[in-house]
This record gives sequence, structure tokens and C-alpha cells, in this order.
Amino acid sequence: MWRISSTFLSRLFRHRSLLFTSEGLRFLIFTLAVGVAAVNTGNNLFYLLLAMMLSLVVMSGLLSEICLRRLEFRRQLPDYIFANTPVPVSLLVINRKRYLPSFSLRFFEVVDGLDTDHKLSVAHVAPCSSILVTYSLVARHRGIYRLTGLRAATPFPFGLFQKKTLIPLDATITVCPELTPLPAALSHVLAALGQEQGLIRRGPGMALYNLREYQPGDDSRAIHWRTTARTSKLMVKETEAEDQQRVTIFLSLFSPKSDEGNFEHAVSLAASLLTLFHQRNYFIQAVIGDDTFSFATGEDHYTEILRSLALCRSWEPLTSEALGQTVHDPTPSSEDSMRIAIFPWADLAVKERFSDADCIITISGSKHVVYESRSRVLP
Amino acid sequence: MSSMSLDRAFYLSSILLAGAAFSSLALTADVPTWLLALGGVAYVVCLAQIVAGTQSRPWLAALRLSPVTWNILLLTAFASFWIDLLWISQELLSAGIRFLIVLMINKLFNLQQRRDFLHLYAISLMAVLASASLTTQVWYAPVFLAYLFAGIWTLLLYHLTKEREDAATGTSHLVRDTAQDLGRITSRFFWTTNGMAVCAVCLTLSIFFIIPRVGIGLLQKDRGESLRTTGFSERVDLGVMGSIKQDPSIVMRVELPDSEIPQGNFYLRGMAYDHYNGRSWSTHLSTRRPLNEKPQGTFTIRTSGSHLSKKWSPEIRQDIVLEPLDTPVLFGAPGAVSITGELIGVQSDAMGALFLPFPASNRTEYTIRSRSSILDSQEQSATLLPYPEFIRQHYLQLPPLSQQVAELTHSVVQDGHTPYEMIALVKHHLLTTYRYSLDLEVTQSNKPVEDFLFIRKTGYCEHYATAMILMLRSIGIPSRLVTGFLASEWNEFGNYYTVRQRDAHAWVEVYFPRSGWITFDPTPPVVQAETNRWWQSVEGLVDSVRLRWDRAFIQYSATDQLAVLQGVREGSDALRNALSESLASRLGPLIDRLRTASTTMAAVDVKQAAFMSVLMMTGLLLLTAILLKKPWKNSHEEKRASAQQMFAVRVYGQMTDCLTAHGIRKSAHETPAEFVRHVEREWAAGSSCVRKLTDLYCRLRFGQHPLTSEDVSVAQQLLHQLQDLG
Repeated sequence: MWRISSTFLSRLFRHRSLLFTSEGLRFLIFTLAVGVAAVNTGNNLFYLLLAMMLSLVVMSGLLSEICLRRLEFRRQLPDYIFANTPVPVSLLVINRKRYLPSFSLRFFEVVDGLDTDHKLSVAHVAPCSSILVTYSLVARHRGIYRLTGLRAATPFPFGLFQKKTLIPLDATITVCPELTPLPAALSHVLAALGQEQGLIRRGPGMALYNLREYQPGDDSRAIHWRTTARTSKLMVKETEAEDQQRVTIFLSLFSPKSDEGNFEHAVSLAASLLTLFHQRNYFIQAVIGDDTFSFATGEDHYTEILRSLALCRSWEPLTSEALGQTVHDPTPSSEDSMRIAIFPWADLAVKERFSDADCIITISGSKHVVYESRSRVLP
Repeated sequence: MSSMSLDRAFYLSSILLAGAAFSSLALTADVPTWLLALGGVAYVVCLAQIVAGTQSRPWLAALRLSPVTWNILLLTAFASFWIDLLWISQELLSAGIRFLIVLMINKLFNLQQRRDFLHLYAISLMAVLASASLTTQVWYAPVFLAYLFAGIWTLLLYHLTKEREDAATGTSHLVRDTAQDLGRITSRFFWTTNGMAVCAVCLTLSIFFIIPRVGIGLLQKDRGESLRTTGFSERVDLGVMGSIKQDPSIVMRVELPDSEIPQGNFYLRGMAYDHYNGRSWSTHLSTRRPLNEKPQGTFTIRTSGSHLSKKWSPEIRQDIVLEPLDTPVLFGAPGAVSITGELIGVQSDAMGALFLPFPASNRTEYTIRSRSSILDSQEQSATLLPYPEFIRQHYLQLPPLSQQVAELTHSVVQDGHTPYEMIALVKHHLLTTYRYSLDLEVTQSNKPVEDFLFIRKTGYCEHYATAMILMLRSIGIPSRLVTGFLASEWNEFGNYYTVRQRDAHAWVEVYFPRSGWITFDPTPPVVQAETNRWWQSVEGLVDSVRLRWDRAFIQYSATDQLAVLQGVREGSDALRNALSESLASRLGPLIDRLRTASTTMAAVDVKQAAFMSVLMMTGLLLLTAILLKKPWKNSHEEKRASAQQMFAVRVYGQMTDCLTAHGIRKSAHETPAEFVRHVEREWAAGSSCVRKLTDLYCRLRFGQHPLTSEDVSVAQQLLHQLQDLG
């Protein structure tokens, strides 16, 4: 009963707003002028003309209200988008009215209470039918992009005023950091590191790596019987390691508030690197602040890390003591993976902890990036 | 109009809108013929452009003037406006109307941009306003309706074409359902728009009747010219009525809402005269006194001699719409008792004539109730009647008459024994001996009555009445002349008398001590000329429509609104009473039974009563819940949903049939997703279509996804692909 009454009340006090168009304002001025003339003279024909103009206003209100009634909207949004990257969004407009069409519909996305005009309009939606509208959505900043609703408007029938209604169609999209092309120098560094990673090594897999004598403790299923028969010695097959390319990406969140630009650049770079390694099917481990994502591969793992990058916030630089308590590198030095550390702020204390990283990227003033590999510092 | 493009229809409706405004000006205002002709040419050219389309472009280009030329013409017109205003007509409205027409013509030839159309609409609105200020004629109604219809079409098409234009220029991204493209005027669009226009008319009329009427009147101007009439001034020369006896101008319309059409003549009394000097009648009792207004809006007339008369005719109520005349006289049937209306004041003289303080400049509507005296039978047979001195003094006055008149009178009345018989004989003599004629030579005779009685023997009502009065006065019977109208034209469409100038009439009132003034008319009935019955009916219909137009629109006032409200209130009270009576009569037995039950229930177990109450409450709550939930609505939605599901099942069935033909059969235990994997294993080429079709099937069959036209076309496409691959 309470649900019924709340629905009833929400329908009763459905939000509508009216905005007069330029033609509507002129029409209103003329109507006022005719009204004044009618009142002044008492001429009934003036009253007749005034009644005609008022009837047009009333009809505009009624017909525009009919157009906006019984409309349903379904919005298809991706789970996540990248900042400054247009994504197609589809909006399904359904007219639930049995006999009456809707005309001249215009739509505005409501983001944080403000209308965003994508210049969307639908000329006509027949009764009991729907129409699909697609448009590009671009988020400028990473984070949570909150669509609080959809505003439908119509100037039908006469274009005297535009009636708007707010449809509560909440949606939230995670806006991931903007993907930027990697600088050439960094690409070279990564390529070199990749070659090291790409060396053939022993490990689980299908391809033959080596044949050797059986030693106690070896898996009996690895015995290569053909070679054993030929050599009359127990021989085991060692296979070449597959999918063994691993990378750890560490992103320091320490960055003063005044260097917000550098921080964003660092996050964007981290996301770009993440995407690059994901596309190459690397096993990725990520450390973003105090969030750690263990080695894994796949779309879900990638998405999870992207979300973390989307929502991460900079930390104010700490003292060395406090630093020790918060920053840790989970990757053991013996683990065979490429390690890339990104620092939005040149903090030596933090960088010291990652001195054995394969690549250290530091964002200094004016987004100047410094790349350091284990062996050398690169310009 | 059907299959016409939106742009063309928009252009046509704009021209028609301006045309309606132009015609209103042409019918109202005093516009020079050349200007009207120019306007007509402009419209013809514009309409030709629409009809001929692209074929008209070459010769239209030849007609088109350059913008510089137009600007020069407009400046010239503007200068002419000032000259007209300051020196020629010296009237803002007249000069303004002419300038407005020039502007309209300019715009008609230069309709290119959106703002040109807006300017044209503004000019047409001003034109309609100007004509509204100048006329009250009934033809304004169809012009207004045409303007309203054209206005609805124009505004709607303006909006729709503007939308398409914005989309074309990239101002907005317009998504159109191609199956329902509104690029052309379809029959549905045509009738829907006309339906909107009809609704606009109804709404306009409703608002018109509801808007409170207030007239501040700061710049109000008296409208209309008074009708010149004669025979109702303080002095009337004998024969003046002849000048208006051919005039068909309508003077008034008289409705008899409470009575049937009177048998016999229906007189509308104006003024009375007591003194005749041989050539003209005048009144020596012209002192007017204001009548008491009690209650508000009603003026009561104290009839003289009423306390003596015992017999009255039934009261006749007359609702009179009087055109503005150059006389302040108010007309009504003899024996006026009261007069009601929006009148500043009403005055009366000693002879019972009713006057406004000054002649009205607008049409006057009032209701007058009359009760005329009936001659007492005793007086009818009395041989001698005692007349008061006052009556003898004023109503036995005679001018110097020739002896012939007295001799004629005595010879006519010699067989009469009573005054009434003498009156009848005189009347009969005049009726039968003399010929009615309006064709009289203009003479300067000093004795027009003698000329009528003895020389010409032809005349009209004034002559007959004057002759009768003189003859009666010569034998000592007080009488007086009354001028007014004789209503004879009944309008069957409007149920009222149409009284024209030519119905002006003079008759006689004779005094009887107890009965008062009794009407006698010695004028023989006029043989009406043969008129075309059909044309007469048309005239009557047109006049009836004109009257209703005036009543409902032109004269509609705050008083009418109050009357309507009162009527609505009385009607609702009557309805409420009728309903309550009806309910009482139907529910009376039930109520009685309940009363009986309630008395017996006092002895009944309380538990039983409580149980019944709970049962009733539960039933009420159930009913309320059903009404709120509307299960029939859900069933309808379920039916709609099932149609969607049926489509999904049909599509899936077609897909499986196609796959079966290809050798891949779906097992009963296989879910749709499993079946997709099955197909992928066995027929990789078709697996993509199967996957998409299965996905669509699941969404439609089990999900909330509504069926769209896009889904339908996608499904059909995929099925075709599958069939082609097979």
C-alpha cells in the first residue's frame, strides 16, 4: 500500500519544467498586448482573439504533456570507458501509449544535476513502438561518471515552449584513465626487457625443451620412452615454458596536490602499460598504492586493475618512517617477471625501495618522463 | 493537400493565414480599391507559385523586384502613412490599416527566411485585431474560424519544418523512424491536424465565455452610427413617416419567450401626442420623470388609470434588441409594466412613453413586460361616459377644422348609440372608404386631413389615425395619436419579430374612464408585395444568425456571465434535487429495511454484528485493492508480452527447422546455449548466425527486452543468411 501511494504521489507531482522559446516569448507578448486591449476596450472580439491565443497555449501544454507521457527508456552503457575516448551509447525510447504517438522529442543526459546536450532528437515515435538512438559519450576525467537521469523535452506542437521532464534513469560508469600512446623511448626499453623475458626457458608446456637422464624425483609421466628405448637409459622430457611472460606494474600514489597533473599522467601511463601487456597476454601483477593484484591474466583481471586505476587518489608524501609502513613491493626478487615502477613524484625514499625494478618511470615537472632501466638511465 | 510535402504545405498555410487576415481588413475597413487589387494580385501570385511549383520559377523571377526597390517602396509607404495620418484621414487606425496592407504585400513577395514568415504572422495578427476593432458583423465569425484553422496548421508546420531544417544544418541530430517519416502530408496527418483545430475552436469558445469581462474603457470609442428615424420626436409633422416607409433597415428584434405569436396585430408603442395644430402633432405633456429602479436593473412603470381598470390582457414579456437610433424612445407593447436591462436610467412622460436619458450609441437590449387594458363590457355598452377634466382638456383639443369634417363625422356616427359604437363606425368608415397608399404627391396643404378625407381619399397610417382622432374629438370622445411600429415579420428561425423602418406606424388610443386607453387602428392592412419565399427564408436565417452572433459574442457581458453561472447553479441544484429524489425513491425501501434491521439488530448477538461489520470492511478493502491493482491491465500487458514471446518462439523454430534441414537436430534435453555449442562443433559457418538468433530469442523470450522493429529486421536478416549458408 505504501508502494502504491508513493508511486501515485510521484506521478501526481511529476516534475515538469517549461522553457519558452524565442517564438513563444513573442507569442506571449502579443497575447498580453491583446489582453490589455481587450480589458481596456471591453471589445468582445478582442476577447475572442485573446481566447484563441490562450487556447493555443493550453493546447501546447496538453499536447506536449501527452507526448511525454508513458515513455520508457532503456540505456545501454559499457561497463567501463576511458577518459577522453568517445564511446557509443544506445538509448531505446519506447512509446507505451496505445494510440497516440510522441513527436519532437529531445534528450539530455543529466550528469551531476546538469543537463548535457548531445543534440539528440527524435522526430516521431509511433504508438506501441520504439526507436533506438545512439550517441557518443565522452568523459573528460577518470573516476565514477554518474548519470543521474535523463531529461526528455519536447517543443511539440507549436514550438512556443519546451516542456521538459526528468526521468530517473541512474547509471554509473567507471571512467578509466586515458590511454595514451607510449613514448618511443619507453617502447624501446620495454622491447629490450621483453626480449629478456622472451628467452626460452624450462617450464610447463607442450613444446620440447630438453631430453635428459631420469633423476630420482622426476615425474614418471615425463619419461620419454622412445629415447629411453634408443639409449637404454631412462630419459625424461623437459618442456618449454608457455605463458611465462610476467610483468609487475607498481604505481606510487604519493604526489603532492600541487602536482595533480603529473599524478594523472602517471596513472594514465600505468593504464596504457597495463593495456599493452594485457594485449600481449602477459601475466600481470599490479600494485596501486596499497591495492595489490596478484599475477593473473584475462579480461576480468584487467578490468579489475583498471577500476583501481580509475578510482585511485593521490597521497600526500610521507616521512620515510611512515613510508616504510605503507609501501611494499610484493614481488620477491627471485620471481621471474618484468618489474615496472611508476612514480608521479620524484621521491628518492620510495624509489630506493624499487631500485631493483627493471624500469623506473618518474614523472617530473611539466610531465617530463625519465626512464631508468636496471642497467642504465635513459633519456 | 494529401501527399504534399511539408514545406509546400507550410508555405500554403502561411499564405492562407495572411489571406484570412487580409479578407477581414477588406471587408471591414475603408481600403482604396487599388490597394485591395494589389493585395489580391499578391495572393494570386503566391498561390500560383504553390500550385505551379518549380514551373513557376522563370516567370516569377521576372516579377520579382530587387531588395533596393522594395526598400524604396516601403519607405514611400511609410511616408504616405504619415501623410495619411496627419492630413488625409487623420485617423491612426485607417492610416495604419493601409500601411499594414502594404507591409503584408511586401512580405508575400519576399518570403524567404524564417523571420519573414514570423513577420507575416505578426502582420496578419495585427490585421485581424484592427478589423475586430472596426466591425461587429457576423461575417467576422467565418473569417475568424478560417484564421484559427490556418493558424493551427501554420504553427504546427512551422515547428515541424524548423526541426527538419535544424537537423539538415547540423544544429541537432534528428533520428527518424524511416517507416513513419513525416516528410509529407498524409491523410492521417491532415485529419489529425484538423481535429486539433476543432479542439482549438472548442477551447477558444470555452475560454471566451469564461474570461471575466472587464472594460476599463480608457481609449474606448463609440462604435456604429445611429439609424435615422422619424416620428418619435416631440413634434411630428403629418406625413413624415412616409419617408421611412420604404426603408428595410432593421430597427429592432422582438422575442416573445413566454408567449405564443399574438393573434392579430402586434403593436410596439413609442410616443403619444395630444395636440394637433392642423399640420403637426405635438405633446404638451412632455415632462419626463425618472422611474424607480427597484430591484437592481428593473424599472417599474406606474400605469395611469390602472386602479380603475379591472380587466387586463395576459402579461406579455418582450425581449427587445434595439438598434442604435437617433431617438431615446424605448419601444414595447402597450401597457408597459416594467422594463429590465443594462440601462443607465429610464424616464417616462405622462402619456406612458418610455425614454432613455439620451439616444444610445450601441445596440440596447432590454426586457419589457406589458399588460394592456381590455375594454370593460359595461363601458362598451354605456351610452354616456364621464371624462375627467384633465382628459377633456388635453385629449379633446381640435384645430380649426372645416365644417365638412363635423358633417362627415355626424353622418358616419348617426347610427351609433354608444361612444363605442361611434368609434367603431368611424373606424369602419375609414377602413372601407379610403385607400392606403404611400404614393403621395408632396403638397404644401394647410389642411392635410381635409385633403385626405375629401380630396385625395388616399393616404397612409398617419392620415388615417389623425382623421379618426379629429372625428372622434369632434364628437367629444377623447383620443390621442400614438406612433410606434407594427411588427409583422416573424423570423421562424430565431423565433422573433424583425421590425424594420418600414414597419413604422401610427394608430389611435381612445380613452375610457374605467378601462383606460384602448388601442384602435383605422389603417387598412397593407397588401404585401409578392416576395420570393426562398429568399425571405434565407434573409430570415441570416438575420437570426446575425442576432445570435450579436447576443453570444458582441454583446456578451459580465451580466451574461453571471446569468450563465446562476443558470448553472440552478441547474446543478435542480439536478441534485432530482437525483436525491430519484435515489430516495429507489433506496427508500432499502433504507426502511435497514432501519427495521437496525432495530432488530439491537436484540441480536453482538458477535454476529461484529462479524458482519468485519465482513463488510474486508469486502470494501478487497474492492479497493482490486481497483488500485487493476489486474485487467496486467492481463493486457501479459497478452502483449506473449505476442513478443510468440515472435521469439517462431523465429527460433524457423532457425531449428533450417538447421534440421542441414542435418543438425536439436535434442529435447539441450538448452539453447548447449545447442549453440553443438552447432559450433558441427557447422562453424552457421554458428555465428545461430548464436545471434539464440541470444535474441533468450532476450525476448525470457528477458524484459521489448521487441523493436530493429530486432525484427535483424532476425529476418539472420534467418536469410542461415538459409543461404545452408
